Amino acid sequence: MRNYELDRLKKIEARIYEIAKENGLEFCPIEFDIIPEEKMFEIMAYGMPGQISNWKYGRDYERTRTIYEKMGAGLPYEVVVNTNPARAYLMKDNTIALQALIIAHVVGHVAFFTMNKYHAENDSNIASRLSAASERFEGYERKYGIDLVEQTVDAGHALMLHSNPWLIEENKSEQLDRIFEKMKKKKHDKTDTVFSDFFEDDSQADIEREKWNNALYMKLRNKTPIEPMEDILRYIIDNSRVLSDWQKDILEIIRSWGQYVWPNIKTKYMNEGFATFWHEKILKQLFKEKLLTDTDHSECNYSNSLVKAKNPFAMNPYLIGSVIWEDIIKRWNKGTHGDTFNEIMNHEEKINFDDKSMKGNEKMFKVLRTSNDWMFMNNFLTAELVRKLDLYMYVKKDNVFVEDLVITDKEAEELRQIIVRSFSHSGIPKIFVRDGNYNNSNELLLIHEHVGADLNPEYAKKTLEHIQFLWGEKCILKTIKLGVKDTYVAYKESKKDISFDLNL
Amino acid sequence: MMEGKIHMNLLAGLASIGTIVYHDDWNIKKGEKDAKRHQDKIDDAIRKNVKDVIGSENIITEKGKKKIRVPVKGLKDYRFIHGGTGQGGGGVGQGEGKPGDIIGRKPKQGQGNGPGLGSGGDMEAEVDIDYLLDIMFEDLGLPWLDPKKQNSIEIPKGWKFESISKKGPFSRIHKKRTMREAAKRSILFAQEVMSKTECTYEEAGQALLQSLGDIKNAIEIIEEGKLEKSDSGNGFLIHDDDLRFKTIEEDVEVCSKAVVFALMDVSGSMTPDKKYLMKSLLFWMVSWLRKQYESVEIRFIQHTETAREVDEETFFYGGESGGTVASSAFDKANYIIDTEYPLDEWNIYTIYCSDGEDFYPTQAISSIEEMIKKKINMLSYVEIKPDNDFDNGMTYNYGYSTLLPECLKHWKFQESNLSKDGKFYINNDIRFLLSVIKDKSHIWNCLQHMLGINHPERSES
Repeated sequence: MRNYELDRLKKIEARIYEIAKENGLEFCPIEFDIIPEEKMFEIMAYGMPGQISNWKYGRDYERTRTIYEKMGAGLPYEVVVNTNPARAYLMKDNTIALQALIIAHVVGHVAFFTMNKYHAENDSNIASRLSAASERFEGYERKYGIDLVEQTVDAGHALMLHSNPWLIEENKSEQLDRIFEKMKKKKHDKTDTVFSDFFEDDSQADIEREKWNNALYMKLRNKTPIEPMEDILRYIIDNSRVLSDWQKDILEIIRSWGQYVWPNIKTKYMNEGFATFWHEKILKQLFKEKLLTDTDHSECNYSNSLVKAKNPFAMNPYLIGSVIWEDIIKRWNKGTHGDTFNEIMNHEEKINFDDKSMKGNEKMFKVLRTSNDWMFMNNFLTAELVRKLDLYMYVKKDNVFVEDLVITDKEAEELRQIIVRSFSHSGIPKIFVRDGNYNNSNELLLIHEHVGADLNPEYAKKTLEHIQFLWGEKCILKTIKLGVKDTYVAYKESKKDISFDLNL
Repeated sequence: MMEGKIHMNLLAGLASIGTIVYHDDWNIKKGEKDAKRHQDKIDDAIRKNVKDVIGSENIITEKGKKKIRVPVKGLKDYRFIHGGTGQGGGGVGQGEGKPGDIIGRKPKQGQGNGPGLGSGGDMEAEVDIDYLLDIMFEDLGLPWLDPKKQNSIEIPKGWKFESISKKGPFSRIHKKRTMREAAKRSILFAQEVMSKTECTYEEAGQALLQSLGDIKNAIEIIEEGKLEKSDSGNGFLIHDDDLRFKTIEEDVEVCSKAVVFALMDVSGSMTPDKKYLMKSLLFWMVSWLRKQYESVEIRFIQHTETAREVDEETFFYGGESGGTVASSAFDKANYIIDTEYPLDEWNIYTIYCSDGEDFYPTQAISSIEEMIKKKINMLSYVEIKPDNDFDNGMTYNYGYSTLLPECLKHWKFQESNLSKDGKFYINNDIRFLLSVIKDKSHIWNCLQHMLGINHPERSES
């Protein structure tokens, strides 16, 4: 990029911020680095400056590079690091038009981070913590060997999404007190009726109550965990007898990384849709103001079409998200929502309905601040949009030599429900630590709460292997579901072998 | 006011433009290092899953390829995900499809019920076939290879230093030998000068140094008193003629000539599943032979009711159907042996693949008998039985096979306990091997049975 080009880009950048602010977007400062393509691939794979080393990142790096080499330039790659100031990256060889698109898109993301409530508690130190950890871990590799470090990191990665930032964090005594008080209250509220005075004198009742309380306290104190615990990594770090301090260090860092990732997972469609919606809107304004030329225009259109391309095998969050945002604004501007509108039976009347309420922007900001993907989809992905977006469901069908992926004949409303359901708990299975001293022999009992979907058995087995490595003793995973109980067990036979019993 | 700044990184030429901050916290080497680690893990996984890799479908379907894509197991981001058996493989997509439209198709993968698209299928890696052959066939060799009148098979064993020559690249100069030659010549030359001029040995040496090794010149120098005073004294010159080089040669083990007959049943009863197993087995066999024994000859014969010799391309990629008369293939091979491969010059191997559903098994037995009588090195019959359940080995059902029971009736075999995956029999006296394979993962065991160097039940002669 030449000097005059950079000057031009800076002008465009400044105008983008102004347009965004004029439209009511709030965002923290953004720092852009202009980097060569290899660095871009690395940032995309690692997700954050100073990320720790692991083969999975290497694999993704290689994959991105291969795709880029095959597809060639023009791919609108963007990475935003959600810190304050936010960090974002521009590829050195991109055209001005593409850089403008990416800057506008990034502004949309940063506004989203800044305004959405699920991102309010972001750990803004995560980048520097990772960077320091990365250096420590390299030391661990030299000292304890790459295999052991890698095994620990892989196990941490397997569990990192079972620790989201909205879970209560408390130490054991706090937890004990909270649950003790809760259970005490529950018990005595039930028995303390207005009539209890007639049957027993006060002192006797007090003694009984005290006795019961003591017994409860002792019982709770010996329980581990005191109540089923969703934060599997937290429990393992605090209670495993086989982890060294350096391993706990690794797991703590990965747990923090998991918590950083969670809000992004929970709002992916909203976020990508919002950024796409805004880059389109901002670019339109830039063309109007002649800050971008006609050539820039066609380049932007090409890149934008790549962003919003329909994927026959998966849902495109950029496309689906932005179309939903557009639809929200349109419907709330015209008032084509709610009971009054839905009760209109006349087709003609329905199509031409417009109460000129112009509440679109207001609604958009309300949804932006308070929703996550599940709410976004449940409330705003209408059957109408399912049809408009050409969404379909496909299944795998076995043929003699091949597997075919065939489109099913699901109706829009049914498909809508399937899609919405897939967003519950962001698609991550609900699994709890139930007992850390199962069978009175330090075995770890995990419970999978079955809510509509089975666990993938291959993945469940391998993940349990990871847990077993961290826990050191036999690990049992039970699926609780009416009628059917799947059980996976991982235990060490010798130092090397881990075997499995399925469906015990 | 919030002001965004564009920071330049690595573009040093632009460093003079105003507000530039360097962020250099991306260590590009991390990507390379981790990518290398990933590659190592892939190699390791392939090594550990030889059996699966061998059965990989596209090895046969992608013809003429040097590189193949093979499934790599165990290299996924394992975590708890949804998608039990029967639920995997589907998803939600977008586009202009109608119900019933096929939007994707891929060859079936191994037995496992790995998740399909949406939850990340088995990983695939691109691997060089030669590399696979190297790691998978470490312990195979042609068994019962006999010395014959003419030797021609060369088995490469690497490189070795063979002899000393006067010409060669300086990288392979033999210093000791060169110096020895130079010293020898210097002494001879000095003696020559001394005898002509009656000077001392030191004077002769100095004169030779001054004349750059020319004897006539050296004599003149002494006679004309042009000898320069020097302390260097005993140095000597290295003549071009003194240079000695090491030569290296490919180290080969020379063996007898060998020919391998690959016989294959392509009749109507050979279902695509069977053909796939058979071709897979023969493909690996042939690729390995070509790599290991450069000059081994391979003849390809396929048969239905009649047999015909075909080229490799037709053998692997052509198709045919019809009745089954196995004897025709053996007769064809016998005829080629009689006319082209005298037994005192050639090691002869025959491998026959079929589902054993033969119309005239007794006729086949007599043709096989005729081949055995020639005392060929090894005869191997591989029966392909993908449809039969022989996991409960006791009640093994031969299906419609007529050939295997007939063989077992006609000759005495010892059942090999090489592996429980597949059934293997051996008769050491007539060097006749039987294999029954059902599954892709049996291919590896079958190759071990036929060609394994450490076969426990084979008596080497």
